[in-house]
Order: sequence, then C-alpha cells, then structure tokens
Amino acid sequence: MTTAHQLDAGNDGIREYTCDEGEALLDARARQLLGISGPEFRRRWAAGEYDGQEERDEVWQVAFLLGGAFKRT
Amino acid sequence: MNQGELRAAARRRAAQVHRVLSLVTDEWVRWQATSDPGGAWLELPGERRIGTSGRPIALSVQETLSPSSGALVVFAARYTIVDFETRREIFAYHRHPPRLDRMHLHVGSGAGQLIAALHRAHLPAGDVSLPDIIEVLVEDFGVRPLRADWQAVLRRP
Repeated sequence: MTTAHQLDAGNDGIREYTCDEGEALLDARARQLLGISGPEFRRRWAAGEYDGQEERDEVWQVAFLLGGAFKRT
Repeated sequence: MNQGELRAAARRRAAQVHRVLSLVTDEWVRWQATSDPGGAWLELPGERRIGTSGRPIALSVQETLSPSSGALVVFAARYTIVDFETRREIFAYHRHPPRLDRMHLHVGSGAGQLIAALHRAHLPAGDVSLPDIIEVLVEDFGVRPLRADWQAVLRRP
C-alpha cells in the first residue's frame, strides 16, 4: 500500500516527457480526436482556425499539449 | 529563459502540483517542457477517483504553462470535477486565452446529484489555483485528504 510519506518524496510519481515524446503524444492525440496530424493542428491553431472553439473538448485536449505555442503572439 | 532553465522551472512546477495532488490522489502527474516558443504542459492523466465521505467524485487537471520572470506560470487550465459513477461533469474551472483570459466556472449536469453540497460550498472565484480547488473539495465535498497536515502542505510556497 502506498503511504502519504512515499507520495510526497521529491519528484516521485512525476513522469517527465522529452520534447520528442511530447510531440509524439500531441500527434497521437490530434489524430485520435481530430483526424489530423500534430504538425497540422499546430499550423491551424497558429493560423487562428480554432478561434472560438477552445471549449470544444477535443480541441482543448490537443491544444493544451502545445505548451507555450498555445499562446499565439 | 533557455531550455535548461525552462526544464528546471517545469520540474519545480510539477513537484509543487504533485505535492498538492498527493493530498487527495496517488496518481502520477506528467509534464513536458517544449523548446519553441517556450512553455510546458502538465496533467493528471484521465479522471482519477478521489475518496469522499459521500458520493464518489473524480478530478482531472490539465495546465499549460509559460515562462515568466524565471518561473512557469499557468496561463491556460482545466480543473474538472465529475461524478465518478455517472461520468457527468459537476463543475469545472477553465481558462483559455485569448478569448477568455480569466478563470471561469462551468456548472455541469452532474451538479444535480450534489446540489446540496454546491449550495453550501464556497466556490472560489477570481484567480483560482489548483490548491484552491483541492481546498474546496476537502472542506465542502467530503474528500478525505491522505495527510493530516494537508492545509500546511497546500499553502507551502
């Protein structure tokens, strides 16, 4: 049984993704939920094609994986 | 902020969030640092059941983070509370700039099962953080914290 002490031990339980792994997850989720690749979603997001659709669950589930690219400048 | 600093900041943020979530769940937090234009995401994968004295509920956490003054700040987020049995959303806090660049509350159809608790609850408003969400779950929704010193852990900087 897991104890509270073990749970709070440093970074135990936190999984770190490399950038490549993160990109792979973005691509997989975009394909699963929207039927497009991760790079294509990134392009459409940057172009504002999802403006006003942030509340759509399938859009959010992919968009939040963009990290800093979520915030278009 | 360079890539090394970004990853260090992301690791600190993940450790803080994990510490908060560890008060009510033993599930993993996962995060990723990205390189261009800089930022990271962090989530508690899926919806995780948390123990309550009443109806079982589940919590999911997703945050998108951006570098600011050497730290990572949350600029988009979803904190979602669902009825574990019916899978219906009870309430959720969202922030998704630029259209809605402030935390806002959605009350879902699952709230009907917990309407009494919602009437009693002091739902946080304004600049809502994940510790705020955890606190209201423990104090108003009967979620059992895994540690006796949960309040001190919650407010630790």
